[in-house]
Amino acid sequence: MIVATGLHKVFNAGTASEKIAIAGLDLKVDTGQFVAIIGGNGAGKSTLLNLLGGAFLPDRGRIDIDAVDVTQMREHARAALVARVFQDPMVGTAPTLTVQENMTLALMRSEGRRLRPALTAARRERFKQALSVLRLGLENRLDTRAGELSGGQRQALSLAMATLCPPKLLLLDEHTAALDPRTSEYVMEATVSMVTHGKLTTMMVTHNMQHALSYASRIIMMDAGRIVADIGSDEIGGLTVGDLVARFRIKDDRMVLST
Amino acid sequence: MIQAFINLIPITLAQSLIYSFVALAIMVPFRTLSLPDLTTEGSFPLGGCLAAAVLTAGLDPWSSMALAIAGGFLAGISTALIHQYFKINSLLAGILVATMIWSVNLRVMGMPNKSVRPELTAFDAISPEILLGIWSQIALLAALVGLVVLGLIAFYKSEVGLALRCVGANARLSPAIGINARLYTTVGFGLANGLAALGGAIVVQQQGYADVTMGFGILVNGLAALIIGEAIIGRSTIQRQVIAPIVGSIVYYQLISLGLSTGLHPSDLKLLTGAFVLITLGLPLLTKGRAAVSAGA
Repeated sequence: MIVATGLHKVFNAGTASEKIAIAGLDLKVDTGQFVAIIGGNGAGKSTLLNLLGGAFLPDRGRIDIDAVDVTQMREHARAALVARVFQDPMVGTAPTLTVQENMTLALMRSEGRRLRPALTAARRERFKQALSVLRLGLENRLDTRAGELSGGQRQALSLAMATLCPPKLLLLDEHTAALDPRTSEYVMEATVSMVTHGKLTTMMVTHNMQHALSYASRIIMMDAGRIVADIGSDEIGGLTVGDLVARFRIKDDRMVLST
Repeated sequence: MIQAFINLIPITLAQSLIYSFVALAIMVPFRTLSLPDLTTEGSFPLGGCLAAAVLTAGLDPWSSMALAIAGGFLAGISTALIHQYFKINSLLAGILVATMIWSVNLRVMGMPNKSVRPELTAFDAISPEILLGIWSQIALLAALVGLVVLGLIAFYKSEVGLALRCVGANARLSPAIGINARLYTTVGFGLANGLAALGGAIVVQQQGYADVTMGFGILVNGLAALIIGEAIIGRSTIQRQVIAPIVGSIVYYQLISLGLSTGLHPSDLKLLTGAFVLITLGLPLLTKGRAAVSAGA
């Protein structure tokens, strides 16, 4: 279970460009839950992911992952628990390293690194298996540099890397947003199959309301660094994109009226 | 004139094998970590001056060289730490450290230069015959360089080495995938400058003296060697990337020797080498035209 308590994050504190990104956020995510996070630009969605992943440390508050306090744990240490797929396909893989080397890096995320040969036949077999699930033929391109793959292939590879050793928490940061619609659908389906298969606790930031409705078991709406709506699986079933947009507006208006 | 060059081929070869440590030391931060480092300009003479000081004080050659490597390692991690914790550009951090090392070297030796008698050196410790014959020196140095190359290739292919390459290949990915990028960068800089210092310690024993100015211009020479080597060998695989600086160093110093024996003035060398590095780095941009330049920006 992921528990965030009283999270606060302010950027450029004390300057003219001060920005309150997360303003006292509490969140509990049950193991195996697939949470979609939606909200307008600047709502704090990406900051929340960065706080959970450890890219930033919160100014206040606390984060627990399966009862381990990770609040002050730096990103590279937290990577043993948390895996992440970025929006930019260029970020999730190392372009000058081969597919096999990239997968090896993913394996070492949980196993650690020692002074022993990185590439072994046994690992190669394991990677072939893991990549064949994607049906992109990547299992036959283990020696290709990741930089030579298309954006969609790279994003699929970084998904395979993130899920190779099941993380306690999988973070997806608009990971289909930079892809064309067809590739985007493909990567989303691959994501759902991996998340379901591995029963992974997942938090996905998305601007695609249909993705949120079709795949998530819970939808969280954020605004001004807070959670303004929390929709459970029983409620999602009856909703359409129109409902979601309408509700989003209503919440927004309420915020305006109340201040 | 050509005869003079041919006569010099063996001695130049021996020299270039030693200087290939410097080219290797430049390759590691420049190519693997994608973070250029100028510390070599200081760690190479530091290794030489440290070795000269402790050798003449009576320390055995093996411990002396280990001490030189440790000194270079320390210089490298200083640069990396200054860069990371004081947010100072890596090039400036390297210049700072190299400049400060100049004073350290004077302190260590107590004088601007120091001669090292042959019987104190590692060459003589192996066999007193070696320093008398240039080919035996070449054989020994080639074996040492070969060992270092094999070791470095094995390291790059290890789990730790792969992580080091990831730090240079994708700085944003490395922490997200569990790699402590700061630690790896620091150790990488240390490793590189330990190699450069080893080169300094060996050259002092081979030529029989150390001088505080022995590092002057060493970086541009090493960079030129690296670029030549990569043009010949390429850098598509780990093996090629590690062998390129060695081949480059061998070719570069023969070219310099050829130039000198055909009447090139020694004092013009730094200008020419600098111009060569500039042209090789700048030419691809000029020939590809504006598109490439704007894409690079």
